Amino acid sequence: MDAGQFRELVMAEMDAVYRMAMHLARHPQDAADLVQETYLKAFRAAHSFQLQDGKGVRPWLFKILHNNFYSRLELQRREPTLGDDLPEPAADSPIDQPAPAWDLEHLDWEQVDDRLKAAIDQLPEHYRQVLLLWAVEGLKYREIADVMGVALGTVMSRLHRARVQLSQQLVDLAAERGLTME
Amino acid sequence: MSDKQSPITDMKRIAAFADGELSGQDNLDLLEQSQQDASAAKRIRHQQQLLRACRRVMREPMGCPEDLRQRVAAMAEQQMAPADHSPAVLARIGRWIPAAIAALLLLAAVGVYQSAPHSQQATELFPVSLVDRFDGRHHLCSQSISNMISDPDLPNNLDQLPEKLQEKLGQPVPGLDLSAVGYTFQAVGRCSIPGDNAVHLIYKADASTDHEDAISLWIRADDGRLPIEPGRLHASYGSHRNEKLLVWRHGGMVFYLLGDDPSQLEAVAQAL
Repeated sequence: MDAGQFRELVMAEMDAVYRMAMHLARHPQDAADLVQETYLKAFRAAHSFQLQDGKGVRPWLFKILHNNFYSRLELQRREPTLGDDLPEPAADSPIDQPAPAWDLEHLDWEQVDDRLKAAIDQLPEHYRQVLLLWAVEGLKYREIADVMGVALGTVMSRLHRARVQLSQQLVDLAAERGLTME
Repeated sequence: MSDKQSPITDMKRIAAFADGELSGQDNLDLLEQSQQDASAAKRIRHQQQLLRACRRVMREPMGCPEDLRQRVAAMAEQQMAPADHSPAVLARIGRWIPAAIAALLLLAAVGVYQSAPHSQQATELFPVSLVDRFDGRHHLCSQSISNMISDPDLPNNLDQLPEKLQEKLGQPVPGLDLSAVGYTFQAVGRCSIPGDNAVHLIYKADASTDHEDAISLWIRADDGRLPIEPGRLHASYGSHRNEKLLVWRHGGMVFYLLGDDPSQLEAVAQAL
């Protein structure tokens, strides 16, 4: 791939990279700085990028973005987010109860959206990032693991816990609306 | 199989199945389980609904600001420009200077020769560099469909695509089947060219034709800013003059068409 093609590919991902930066940084100026740092590193590392079949440039850019973001966090000595080196909660922990099953179509979508937005905002950062890479950017579990530098099982665990937390919010919403849960 | 697993592991498997992450025997096992166990089927459906809800909520419009895009584009120019001016490199370049001058003179002569007829044929809407960008994207994506920017909301199926495009672009986009003019639909994706929220479709010549070229069609909602009359074809050319981009407005949309073989484009545009 020549430099022009590489440039085309990475520039086409700017919306996705900015969206991810906004979800991570939660502030437009911080997100813009993150995006610029990410692209600067990407342009400097263009020679090392190898396009693989079935994988675009997006996971590679997200990996740079992810590393930038957590390097910044470390530099700023912020409080660490919930890590995966924490012990696995006991099986009867509320967070690891199997997700309830019901038909979301019975709920009012506007209320679901509001409740979901609030629930996503409350998720620990590691969970939120997995959720974003999975739900919005459509990355496979393996690609998410690569972006975040964690094991495949960790991705599945984080995603599972995020889903359970979000589902619980919807259970609450449904209960408030008088819908029967199983 | 699920009997041996804890409820949590089983939930992770169900979620992985709903996400299309299981393969082989695991996939078949869970498919069988879902057919026999109504509760498992319901949980799978729930996971899929939750995915759609999360996607909708988290993908709210959050496009990259234009000033940031321009700063990054300028950074790309700066970072990716050739920077090696060492004597050895200059000496290597120097050997080619006479040949380069001869080539430039030849190109200039060809340019003078070609400029007269083209200036009569078409008003060029876009700068050469922009047509080159369309051409670059066309070649990149037509050579390997995996280079397209996939969008989970855009199905690679011509029967379902018009409805999804209407949701995405706000207008119906009928008539995307080009089999009548010998082209088969290959794939669709998002594209930053010609602007945010544009879609890019790739077609390839089918066996009924005697050529093996590919064409790219970009569609975006018409914001009324392009200075062209509705229904009229406009052509613009790239830096080598054989990259031809046809543009037209129709039905609230702007269409951009470019292909390996410029001689096929007019017929395709008419079919659309």
